[in-house]
Amino acid sequence: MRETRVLTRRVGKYEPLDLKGYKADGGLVALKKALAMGPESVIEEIKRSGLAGRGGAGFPTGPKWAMAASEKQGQKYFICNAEEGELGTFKDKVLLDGDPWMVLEGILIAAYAIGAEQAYIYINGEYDHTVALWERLVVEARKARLLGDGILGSKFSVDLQVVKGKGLYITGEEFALISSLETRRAASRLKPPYPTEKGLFGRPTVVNNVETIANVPVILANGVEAYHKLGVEGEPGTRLFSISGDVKESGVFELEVGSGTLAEFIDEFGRGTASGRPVKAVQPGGGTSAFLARASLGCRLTAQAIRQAGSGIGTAGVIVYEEGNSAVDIVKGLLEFYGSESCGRCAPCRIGVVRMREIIEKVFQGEGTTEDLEQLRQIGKACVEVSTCGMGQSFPLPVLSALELFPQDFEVAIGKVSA
Amino acid sequence: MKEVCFTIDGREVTVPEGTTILEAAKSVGIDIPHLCYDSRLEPAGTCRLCVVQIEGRPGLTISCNTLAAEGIKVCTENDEIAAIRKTVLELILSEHRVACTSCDMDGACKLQDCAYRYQADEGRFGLPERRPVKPNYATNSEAILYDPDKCILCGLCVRYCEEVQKAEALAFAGRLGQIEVSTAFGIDLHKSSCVLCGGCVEICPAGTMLDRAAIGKGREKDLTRTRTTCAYCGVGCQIDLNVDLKTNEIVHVTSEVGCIPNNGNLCVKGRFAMDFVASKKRLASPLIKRNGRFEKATWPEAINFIAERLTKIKTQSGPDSIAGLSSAKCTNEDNYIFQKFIRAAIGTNNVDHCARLCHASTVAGLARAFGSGAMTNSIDELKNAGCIFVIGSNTSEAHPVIALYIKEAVAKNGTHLIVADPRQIDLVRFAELHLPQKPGTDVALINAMMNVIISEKLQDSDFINDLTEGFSEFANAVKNFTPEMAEEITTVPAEKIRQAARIYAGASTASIVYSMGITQHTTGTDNVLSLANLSMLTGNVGKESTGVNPLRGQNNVQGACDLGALPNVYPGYQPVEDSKIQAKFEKAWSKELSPNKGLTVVEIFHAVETGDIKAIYIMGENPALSDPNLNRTRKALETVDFLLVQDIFLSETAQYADVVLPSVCFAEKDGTFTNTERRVQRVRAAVTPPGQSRSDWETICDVSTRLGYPMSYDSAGQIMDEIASVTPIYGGISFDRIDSVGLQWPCPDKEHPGTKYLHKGRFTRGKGKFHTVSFKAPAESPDAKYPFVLSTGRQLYQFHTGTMTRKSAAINQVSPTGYVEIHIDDAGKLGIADGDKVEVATIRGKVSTLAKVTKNIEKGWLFMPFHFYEGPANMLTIDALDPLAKIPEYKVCAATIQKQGR
Repeated sequence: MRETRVLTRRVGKYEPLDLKGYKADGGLVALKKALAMGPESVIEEIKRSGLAGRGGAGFPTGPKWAMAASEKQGQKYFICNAEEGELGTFKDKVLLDGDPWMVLEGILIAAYAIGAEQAYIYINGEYDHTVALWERLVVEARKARLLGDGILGSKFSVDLQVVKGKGLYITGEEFALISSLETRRAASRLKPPYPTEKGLFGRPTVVNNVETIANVPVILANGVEAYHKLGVEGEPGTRLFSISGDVKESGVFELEVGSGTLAEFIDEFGRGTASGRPVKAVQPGGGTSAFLARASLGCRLTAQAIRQAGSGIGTAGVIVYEEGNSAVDIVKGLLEFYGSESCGRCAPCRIGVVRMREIIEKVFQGEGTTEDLEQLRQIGKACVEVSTCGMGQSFPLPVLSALELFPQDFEVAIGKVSA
Repeated sequence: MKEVCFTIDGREVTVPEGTTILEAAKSVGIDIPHLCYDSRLEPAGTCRLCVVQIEGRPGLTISCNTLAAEGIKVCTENDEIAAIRKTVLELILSEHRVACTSCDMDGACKLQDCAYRYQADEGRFGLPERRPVKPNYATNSEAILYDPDKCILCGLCVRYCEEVQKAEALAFAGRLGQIEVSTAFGIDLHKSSCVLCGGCVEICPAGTMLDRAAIGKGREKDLTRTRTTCAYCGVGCQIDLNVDLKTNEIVHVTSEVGCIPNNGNLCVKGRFAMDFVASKKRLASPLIKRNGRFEKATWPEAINFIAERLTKIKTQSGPDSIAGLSSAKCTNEDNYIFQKFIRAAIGTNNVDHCARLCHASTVAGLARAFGSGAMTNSIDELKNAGCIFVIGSNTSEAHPVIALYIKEAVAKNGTHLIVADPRQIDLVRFAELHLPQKPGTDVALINAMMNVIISEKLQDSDFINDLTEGFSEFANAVKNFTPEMAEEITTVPAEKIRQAARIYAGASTASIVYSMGITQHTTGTDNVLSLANLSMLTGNVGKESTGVNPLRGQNNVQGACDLGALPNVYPGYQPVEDSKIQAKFEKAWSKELSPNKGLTVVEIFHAVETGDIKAIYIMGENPALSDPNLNRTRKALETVDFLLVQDIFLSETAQYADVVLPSVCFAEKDGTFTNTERRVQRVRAAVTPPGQSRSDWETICDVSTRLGYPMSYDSAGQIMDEIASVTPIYGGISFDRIDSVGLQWPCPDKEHPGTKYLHKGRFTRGKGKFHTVSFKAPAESPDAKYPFVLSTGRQLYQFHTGTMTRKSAAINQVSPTGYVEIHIDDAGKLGIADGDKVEVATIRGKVSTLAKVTKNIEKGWLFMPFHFYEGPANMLTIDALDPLAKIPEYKVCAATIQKQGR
């Protein structure tokens, strides 16, 4: 198993603000092509490529653009979602810091394709260095006529505003991000209408993740056929996997989709568990993905295989837990985080996450009962079933899967069985 | 409209396309539980209780935001759904301090209903921790209480405030675990942008927001609800008085979503200003003034006294020496009986009322142009107008609920809103164009708009040719009136006038909304005629969502006019000088009647000075505060030989009276009011009146009988039957027909469904008539000594002379006293700071009041509300009259202002 560096091939190869370095290594080829093709053709190419979102939900990118592009009149917006707040996920930072011009090129192409004259990049509030870099990048880009009126001498004009996130997990959710940009309370909204119909300031808006948008220049520069040579049927290309937790080495690695199994990935890129004990459980798609037990680690690194194994690829943030951890401790850690991150808009998520946090704390303290475990299941199920946005629908998944996969840990904690 | 057919719980349902599953279910009586839905708001889907299962779709779907689709099969409840609803409710209850035992909303609480239905266990996930007691935004509010321990954060109040009222006072503050409803920065509610509509209180599903004055005064089961018509302003909101019959007290006011015309929306007055009903200051027995002091009297004593005085005056000086002021605050039945008394029992047409002071020019102008002097279209139609042109109406303050429709039109339907008003009024926030015309220059503005329409050929020639007359003469007259000329007069830039003309003429349908900024001028009738011209020029009359729409000021000013409380017409605008009509009424009333039209309000007071008027009978009006040039008016009240006042309070006017008779108020009597859209609506007794007070019509009947013209009726309904028999436009009205929803006149017979908009296909007078109107300057212009233009008018929190509204603690907190608005630059030059005591003076008088320094008024102009007995604005106003309508020029006079010592 080895890395296939397509999106990350330039990372570290040039000084981040050095546009010449970027151009010398194939930069801006895709943008020039796009400007020559016209917006409709660009959207067609992205549709044909089969590119799907890399922010967690995996929505197809081309159709999303087409929806926003179908509104012909008035202001439209493009937003690059660089909030990257999901636990165990730090892959976008690699692209933002290591090949920012490629991300910018992707943003420009997307804005051109949907007809947006204003773009935003909303960067995680803790990525201070990244925010500073992008603020300088925008200045450089304006000088180089890559932002402003008449991009590269064309009739296309667009500007980009760098926005520093407000330190809220929920602003990774597209409507919460949009609300935050509107200087409103960061909260999700009911869909429909989707952002592509009524997004930022009520206008059609596309929100794409950083990694998603980084794929765009690659697809246009090398062509859809080249893109399809990588990956598996229905999931073309490469994907950035973060790995963290009980492993010897954490990091971000770009892999061809489906190139190996989860177990191989942990062994070869994480260099095995930290203590050498066997793996107990893995969250393959960030902190809100369901646990996979050791028995499932043979699943290949595709969205479909991971879904079939009982979890989701999400943000491809692989978090490894080795034997010796109690599922109760792990779940408590997760709920401590999510328990203060609901936007508070919908009842089940707002209240459920707090009640679940309280219950797990009680269980952890050894004061839990069977009824408490039943309550965790009931609240979790209600949140998954009826929540509005991804947060409420997914934060209970690790809890529910832990209860199913590691019932003994909970029974020990409530004193039903001894350790 | 396209329809979709689908299945809910096995039942086939057909609904219009665009209906949500929740609404569709509701329409067939299937009750899907919810805690965050309201038909007036965009769906928010925050409670998640309304989930349903749709066959073939994965998981559960919320029904409040999912449209019914052809052929789908919906299951609204099964074991799985019920279990999830129960869990969600138990979660919600873990955030709600359950206090049903001591809660006002016990029995009227949606959360309680849902919890009961699913047998949710309030302690399942633990009881909520009590928050530390600390002040919140409503702690100091006299109107509202907010209990964060009970708040379930459904967002209904916040959304209502933002989406319907558009006050944007409420928002969520804090993050998870500490979220609360609050104002911006947590400032006190009464200092925020809140307009005290109370919509948040009524929409709250969990007893979290309460009407502070109602706390502990009765729960649902203790209260009796009576549907009636609000007694404030001409919108005619349907309100429910919730009364504790044991204490005879109105505990709080509610309104039902879906009711016509207000759809459950109210303003501060309807919601929070009912304290006057139970006020200890209510008159409870007749009073006769002896040696300058009022003494209590019995009814027979008082009636005898009155009869003797009136008989003597009538015998000595003739019937035309007596005049009556009827009341726009009283019912149609009271007004009918009052004018019948003056005409038949006294024998004169000297009857008028305060419509003279607000919309006399509307009645005169629209009758001339169209043949009928009332709002042409309906309130509800405003929502769908392509353009709304608001001129001389501060709708948000004077007709707050109509303003909601205008705002909704702009926000939801993209209606183009043009506001012409000298001040930066609230509606300007929603307007595409604001034209701040100099007070008194409306004709110039409108003529220039019409000049643009004609010169750019934007007029509706087919409409003009087919349905109107007098066009060519009129067109010649405005031909030379260019926007540049108008700019000189109005100070509005010519280009803005052009834009306004293009927007108005270019709209699919355009509706004109106006009020006293148009009418209260010496050129009031001219102003109205100009607006009529504008509407006819573009074909915007006689069609839905168009028209010329005067917003009537008082609750029943439309009805008082309709029922003939005017010196020139009998009920139904039938002229007194028409001998056939006179004969008809002589027959109906079995009495010989005067063929001469009578005097108008201001003329009556002026006639006291000449000795022509010797007695005045005033029912429910307060000219000692409301009429112009008060020094002169009060002198007349003082010197008239006999003054009889019938009122609910010892008003400023009543204090001048020889006899005062106690009346019952709207909440104590049966009858009808007619709202501004010509809708005749029921008024119902909800509480018993104080002391010996009696309904106005009963009192008048007794006086009349004692004067030798017997009148007697069993009920208000019987009076309405007589009204219907002599008043063609009310011919089809009866109490049983308007029991649930009022009818709009003209309604000529019992089968007629009422008339939504007037002049369809043909004007009431035949052809619509264009009038040539030339600009005339106001009666008084600023000079070196009086350099400011002073306008007067209303404000949101008060009604008329404040006798009713000023008894409300909630209102007194936000509107304690009067003020004068002055531009910040003018104030700076005169050394006046906000809140300073100032003296405002005109050639007629001077008053002390407080300065309100603002940028919402233009330099050189002043504005004063007229509601306050301390610093009464009408000490300053001019009693110059419009020559046709006899309306005084409240909107323009020359004034000066200076700072007073503190």
